[in-house]
Amino acid sequence: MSNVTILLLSHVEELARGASRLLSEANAEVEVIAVGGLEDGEIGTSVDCITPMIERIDEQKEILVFYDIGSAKMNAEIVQEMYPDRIIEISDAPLIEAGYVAVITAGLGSNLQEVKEKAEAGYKKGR
Amino acid sequence: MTTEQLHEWMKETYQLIQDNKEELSALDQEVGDGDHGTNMNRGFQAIVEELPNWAGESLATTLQKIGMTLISKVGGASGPLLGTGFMRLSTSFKNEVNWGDGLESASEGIAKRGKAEVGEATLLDVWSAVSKSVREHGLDWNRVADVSRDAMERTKELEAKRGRGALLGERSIGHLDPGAVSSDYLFQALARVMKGADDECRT
Repeated sequence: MSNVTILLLSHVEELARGASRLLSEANAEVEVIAVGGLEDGEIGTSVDCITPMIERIDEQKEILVFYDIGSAKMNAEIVQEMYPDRIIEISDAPLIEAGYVAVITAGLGSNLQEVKEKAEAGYKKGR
Repeated sequence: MTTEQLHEWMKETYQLIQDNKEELSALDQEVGDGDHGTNMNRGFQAIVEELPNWAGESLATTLQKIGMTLISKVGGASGPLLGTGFMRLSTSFKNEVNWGDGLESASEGIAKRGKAEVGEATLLDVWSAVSKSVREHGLDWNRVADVSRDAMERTKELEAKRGRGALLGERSIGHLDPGAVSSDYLFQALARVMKGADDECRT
């Protein structure tokens, strides 16, 4: 069982859902949670949409966040500050490609730092 | 500043954003993704709708709620940036309402959140110019309005270095930064509300 949960953050709901479907295919045992778009379905990211997902994730688990563009990262950082007791890391690597590597690595039982490093270093190999 | 003035400030800002929503989005179409007007309108509409529920709250608490609403509702990069600015104002005003300290802390927060520096043609240019002016010349609301407008207009001459505008490189020169324009609305509205209050005191 992996101790790392992958959290995908996108500006668009369909993209988040699609990305999560693709990543879960790499290893269905690894928890992948995706958030996309605003509450009204518009394009964007919102802290309000992210925090319920953090609440859903087991407190023992470490969280690795991948995001799509610009402001998603700022919101991820705000969420990180809102949960100082949770272990949350944000990766700048591409959501799909690096996320895919992260799921595989997490599935092998690696810890958060290893998963992040492998994902960031190895995502080009999987193409 | 009283909480009533803060409420007025938000209503005035919302009015300016509403009146110029298309203009803001048109500016954003030139250098960004074209949703700045809609985003800002959504955020400030939410604030104005919530204001009655915040009646009786302290100045610091209201500023904090404004910050959280912007972070939650705006949806674009301006949400977390402006939201952070208002959260910083809230923390600063908890002890004492000192605009020099408050605006400086807000500008620092915005710079940190956006990993931006002054002169990169962003809303930070406006916040920082106003903060500096209040520090150097004290609280003169006419000056605040002028300094804010100048800083906003200067973004036209600058090359965008942050956000999507940065991808345009030199081609971003000649375009106003939409975030700087909406932040200028904030300070024009603030100056108007606070000047009105000063006039009342004098008569």
